[in-house]
Amino acid sequence: MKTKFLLAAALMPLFTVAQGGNNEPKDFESGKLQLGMRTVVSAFSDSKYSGFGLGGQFRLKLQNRLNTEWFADYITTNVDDYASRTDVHVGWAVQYYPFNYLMTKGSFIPYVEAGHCFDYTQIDLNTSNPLTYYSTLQSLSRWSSAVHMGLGSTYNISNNFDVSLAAMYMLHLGDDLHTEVVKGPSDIPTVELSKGHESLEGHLLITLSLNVYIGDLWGREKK
Amino acid sequence: MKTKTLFFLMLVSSLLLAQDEQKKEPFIRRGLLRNEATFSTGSMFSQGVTNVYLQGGIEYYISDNVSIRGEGYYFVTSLGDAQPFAFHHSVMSGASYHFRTKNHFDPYFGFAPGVSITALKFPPPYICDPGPCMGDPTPGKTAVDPLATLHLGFNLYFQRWFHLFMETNYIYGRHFSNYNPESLSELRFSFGLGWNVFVLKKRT
Repeated sequence: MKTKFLLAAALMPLFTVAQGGNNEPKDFESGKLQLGMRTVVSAFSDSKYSGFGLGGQFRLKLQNRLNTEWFADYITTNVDDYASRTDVHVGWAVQYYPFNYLMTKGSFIPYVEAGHCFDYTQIDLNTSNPLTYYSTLQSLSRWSSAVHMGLGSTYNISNNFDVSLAAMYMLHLGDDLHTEVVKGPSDIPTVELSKGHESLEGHLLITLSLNVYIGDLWGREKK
Repeated sequence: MKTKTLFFLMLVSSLLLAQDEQKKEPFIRRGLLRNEATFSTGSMFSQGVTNVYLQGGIEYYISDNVSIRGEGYYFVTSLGDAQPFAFHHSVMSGASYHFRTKNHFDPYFGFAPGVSITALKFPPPYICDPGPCMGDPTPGKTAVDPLATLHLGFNLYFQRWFHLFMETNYIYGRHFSNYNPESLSELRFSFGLGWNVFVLKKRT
């Protein structure tokens, strides 16, 4: 319930801004398809570990001010040297351009983004670390789903290429995975993996992406 | 080594002077396709390791200033006593920004995300030092690790077909296996002769 309320509150400004588009010029931007690569940094998670990864995405514009992004990320995180965490995100997002929206050389396009993804997380223990010698589990994984929202901006270096920087807060809806150092046999410190109950686990996702314009899928580009 | 550097600098300067005689207009433009294959070396400062790679790459200029590229590095060996990796191959895909000059000289910089496929050759020294090996004394498991690279370099194009290139890559990444994480940060250098062709006609 709390999540739904948060999501509705977060999306409200988008709808409000969207009302101001009565004097919009004819839609020449829809259908534009871009393909890109990105570097991803995951920070400020509940477990306090930062991750680093890469991903890819394509973007398909539906209107002058409305873009969609379809992405996949692969992120690895070091957990205090005794374990590594791997996250895979596959999802989509809607980008709204409240100000500038033309994909032309030199244009700076800020945007608001909200989206959803499915994610897979796996934690593997570093079996050479003494803290793991008596661990019950060596690996643990889970599927979950997540929503995210954030701000970004795109700079068009040329008419067919842009660089985008975005920061999004991602909220995972599902079981959480924990690592914890507990007292093992003979009180020897031991890492234990566990799956928490349904919870809201969040982190900040910062992406730096390179996007190449591929083409206009339904040919509304202004000649 | 010093002689080779001097020879290279003389070669570059004479080529630059030669370009000066010709009509002064930018050589690089949209539609230029170039590729290369060479050996490159990389220094991992944190481990004190020098790696040798067989490198191949392809690059396409999507506009007069911007190119997209893909490149692969096949790990050949590490030089010297330290041999931490069984293999450490990598692929990257990204883009470069080119400073347009009015000759055939093409300086650029860029960014490319990538991945490495890496396995440690032996258990790291901390496992066996001091005393007997603890834990699992087997080679590291193979892992796919994300990378991010910044590159800086230049191309020097001849009249057609060929060019010289020189590039430095800074690579950031970490390798996760059944051992403690290993830094994959590395400075790679590559130099060689590449091949190029214009696949689009010049706009008039």
